[in-house]
Amino acid sequence: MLLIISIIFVIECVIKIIAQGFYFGKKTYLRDPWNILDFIIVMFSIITWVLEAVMDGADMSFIRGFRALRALRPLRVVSKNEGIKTVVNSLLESIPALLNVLLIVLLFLLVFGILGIQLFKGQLGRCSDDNEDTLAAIQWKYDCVGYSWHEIVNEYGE
Amino acid sequence: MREWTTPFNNYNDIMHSMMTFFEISTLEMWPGMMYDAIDSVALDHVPIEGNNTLISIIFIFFIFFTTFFIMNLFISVIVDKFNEEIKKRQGADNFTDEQKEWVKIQRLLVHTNPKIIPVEPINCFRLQCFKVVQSQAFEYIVMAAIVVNTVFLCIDYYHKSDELAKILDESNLTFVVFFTLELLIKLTAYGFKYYWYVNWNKFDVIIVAMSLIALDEELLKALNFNPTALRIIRVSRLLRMVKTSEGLRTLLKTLFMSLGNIINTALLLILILFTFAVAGMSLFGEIEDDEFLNHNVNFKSFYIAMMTLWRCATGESWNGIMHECFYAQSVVAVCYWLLYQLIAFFIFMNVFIAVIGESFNDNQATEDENDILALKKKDIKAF
Repeated sequence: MLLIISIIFVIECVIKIIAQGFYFGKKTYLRDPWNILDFIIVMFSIITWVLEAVMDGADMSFIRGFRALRALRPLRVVSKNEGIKTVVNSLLESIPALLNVLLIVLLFLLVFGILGIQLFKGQLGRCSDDNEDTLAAIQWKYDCVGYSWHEIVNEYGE
Repeated sequence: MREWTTPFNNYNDIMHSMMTFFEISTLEMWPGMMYDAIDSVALDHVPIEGNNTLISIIFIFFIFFTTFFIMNLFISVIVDKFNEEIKKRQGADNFTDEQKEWVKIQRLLVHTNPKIIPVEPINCFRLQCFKVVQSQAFEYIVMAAIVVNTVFLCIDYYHKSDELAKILDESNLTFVVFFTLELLIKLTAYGFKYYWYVNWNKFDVIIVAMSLIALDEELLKALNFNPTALRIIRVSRLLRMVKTSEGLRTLLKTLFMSLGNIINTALLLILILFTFAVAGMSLFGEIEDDEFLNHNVNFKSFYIAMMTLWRCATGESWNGIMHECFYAQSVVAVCYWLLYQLIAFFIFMNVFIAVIGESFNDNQATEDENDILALKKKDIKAF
């Protein structure tokens, strides 16, 4: 069943390429970004076939990764529906502006992140022990597991 | 077995530290992180409860600046771009002012349909009905009936006495009869053609018809009809209240106008959820149950994976789930969840805001145009 569907997609892709031309010239197949998405998905299914044929029972674990790309197929619905296209286009258009916002967010995260390191570096660890009585007496990491950052620095120097 | 453990949300290096603050900025489980920091004492020291309460100022500051201001920039950027795209589709981008005016007028012509005024019937009995229906008092009585009906529906409670149950049943019958009578009077007054022309009347007819069918429970059972649907029908009568006020009607119209775009966005969101669900199933499908990933929240089957992702799109404890995925799949899990959270929570949830806002503005604009037009009409008449 999956094979039949894949073949239908490949045929669609080939017919479109024959009709519109592949890349050179205006309004050819690959000039439309939606077709690029279609093309990539089709290419991946072809690559999977070729690899399966060539490898023939050898280590197939990495092919699984290619198989996961099948999940992208429903995205093709987008290129068939005008309304969804508007939403997607406006999202794509907003990417540069969103990246700016993201940069500002990252800047803030960086500032506070560095502040966090300065203030709380290595301070959030705690000792976990099944025995509640001995746990109460433990103050430092050294008491807990027998070595600590101080000790390593002292031993090996700067 | 004694161990020295560090929580996922620590500040030991820049990546962990930034990740922690990012999680705080989504407002998920941030109090826990704040109290971890408050309890911290010194390098390699066990935490002491309430050691440094003042340090909470940092977290309060961070949330105030990042979540309240910067995260809202996402909303404004998306709303802005969405409006631009819509304008582009309407072709108003590179028009001169006069052309824009022309487009506006054309749109106005399409949108304003002339109000048809009901004709007074000649028949004596129908004329009486017409006078009753047109009167202000009739309108008020119907509204009062709807409100009283609402009150009666609110009275219902678990373990009610038999008497009350009987009263409620009878009141339901009374209201159904009342609304049916109202419908009949209106129908005789306006005639079928005009009655069916008004959209709200169609709604009334459907509700009355449904509640008439719902009266006979035996019949419903014979038809294999679900009793839940019956209760929904009873409650849907309350929606008629919307008709009463202009403001409510505008809001409802806004929702209705944005329905198309909402559906498109929802479809796109479902596609994204689908893609992430399939990827999540292959990445996190075999993780054992723990605190956050449990029998309700996991990636073991497609349905539950979709539910998990939908829950995370609303933000709920997504970082707890991410931590447990991280222990199983390391950095891949963090990349997956960061990407998902950015797309679903920060971008898509805001697209919905953009869609509603856009159609609200559009609605408001057409209403303003209508006002202007009405004014001009008045001027012409005066002239």
